[in-house]
Amino acid sequence: MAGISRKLAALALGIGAAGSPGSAHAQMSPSPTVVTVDLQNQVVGNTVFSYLETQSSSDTGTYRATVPPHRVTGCHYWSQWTLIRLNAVSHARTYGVSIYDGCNNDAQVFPVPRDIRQGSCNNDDALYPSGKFSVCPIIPEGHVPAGLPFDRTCEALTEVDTSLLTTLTPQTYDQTLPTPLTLTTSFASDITQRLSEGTCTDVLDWQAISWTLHWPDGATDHLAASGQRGITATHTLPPTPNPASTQQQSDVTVIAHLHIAGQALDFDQNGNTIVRNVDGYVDVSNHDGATGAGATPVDVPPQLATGAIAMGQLGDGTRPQPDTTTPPQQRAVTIRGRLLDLYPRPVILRPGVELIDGAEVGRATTIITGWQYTGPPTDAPPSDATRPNERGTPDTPIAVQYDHAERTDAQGHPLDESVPITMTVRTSYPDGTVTTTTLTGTIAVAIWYAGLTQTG
Amino acid sequence: MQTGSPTELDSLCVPGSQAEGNAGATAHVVQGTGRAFVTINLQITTLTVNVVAAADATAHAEYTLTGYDAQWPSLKQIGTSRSVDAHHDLELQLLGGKWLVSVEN
Repeated sequence: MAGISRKLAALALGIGAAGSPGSAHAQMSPSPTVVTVDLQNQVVGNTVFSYLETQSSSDTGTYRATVPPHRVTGCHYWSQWTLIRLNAVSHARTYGVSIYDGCNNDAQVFPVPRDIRQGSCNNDDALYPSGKFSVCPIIPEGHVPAGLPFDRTCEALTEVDTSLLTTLTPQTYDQTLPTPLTLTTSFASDITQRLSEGTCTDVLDWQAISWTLHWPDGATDHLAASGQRGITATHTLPPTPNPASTQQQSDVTVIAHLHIAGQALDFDQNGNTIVRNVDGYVDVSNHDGATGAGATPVDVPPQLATGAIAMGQLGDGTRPQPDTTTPPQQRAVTIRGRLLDLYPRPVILRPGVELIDGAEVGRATTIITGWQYTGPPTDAPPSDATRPNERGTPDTPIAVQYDHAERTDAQGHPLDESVPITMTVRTSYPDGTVTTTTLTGTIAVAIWYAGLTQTG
Repeated sequence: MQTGSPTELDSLCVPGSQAEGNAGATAHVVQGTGRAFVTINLQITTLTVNVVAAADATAHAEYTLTGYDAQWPSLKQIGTSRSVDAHHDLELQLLGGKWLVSVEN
């Protein structure tokens, strides 16, 4: 027992401390060193963010500190959250939270809940201590845990599924016959709140950027963005030869790929609360197995070349407006001695596409926003000519003119004139991503001339 | 023991126990408030130990700390010296030939 006495003496040195200064007489310590914890709330937008706050008390005083749900450096408590219970009716969620002490080699802390109804856990005593939760807070509907990352860690995405409504007709069908199925989907009015709770984010905006449909015959359809609206789709099931039962229940797995934007309460490296912007993707499905954080869309850029809509000067000297219904070409034809207006446009050799999980869900649009002519002076009259390095807008043409006949190479083959150009193009993808790129190239111009050919 | 550090206290606790979780509490207060108590003298006035099983024991300790309040980490004294009476009820386990604290009440 002497060994115990020595250790207790050392322990007392560590635990014991003083109360308020200035007293000349001995004071009785009011309580041993203790750590308590409670749930704090902070409103961000339309969402209440909840987080844990500890109060450490010793004889030197008390100190309150937040408990971020991820590791922070220095002498701070931090935690890991696990969803352990979800009340489908009240939408209240109970989390098992393990709190660790960054001051003490991340030893797990078992603080006393200040509100026993809020934080007590029914830990299984048979578990090794590290398997026990420190505290088990209950997060009510409309509240979300603060600081959890925008991924599966929030672990409440299944809640969102209740907001995706699907109707499939007919409800049953004869498997021996070809059967057209019609699917109609819509979103419930509470989807924004469900998304907020499901992603631990105050969702400000959400958009369905694409849909994936898995039909019972194994076919998969990918449909384009629908904003905040549902979709209607049809699919004809082929007849099944010799089915076990003739009648079959209709079924389809619908996955809505959503993009959401919002804000969330988080913690900086000192444990102070901060509000950060959130931008991410969520998959919502009518089937439990397909829920989760959405795959990030992959934008494949278009393959482009420099081109133009060519408009030649008419015989009366007028210069017609461009025909915007005409696709741009990489090669134009002009008449010797006449002005040629080239309205620069990108030639889309292969359009940009948006992929989700490798499937194309939409195509990008690419437009020109500006151009620069980088060639030498041509034979165009100075009043009409486009000067070297002149810049223009999509509505203005590059005006060139050639007063000579088409040149030929040593073998007598015609050589087109080159109109070098740099153009700036903007590509917009279905998910709202916009990229701006610069194209450099040339537009070939063949010179024709009016003449009579006599054969024979 | 180093002021504001839980290292020595932690070494006296059962790993994973409630007591180990509390071992850093004083360090949080010291580092969070920038104040500490520097102990000059420790006087144990009562120590009662009860071995309830081969590897389990309880202990009750009463002691008096004499020292002064100080700024942390400079440990510059604040005010006059004073004494504090304190007490602890502990549960201990014999692990690896050492009695370690598992619960502090």
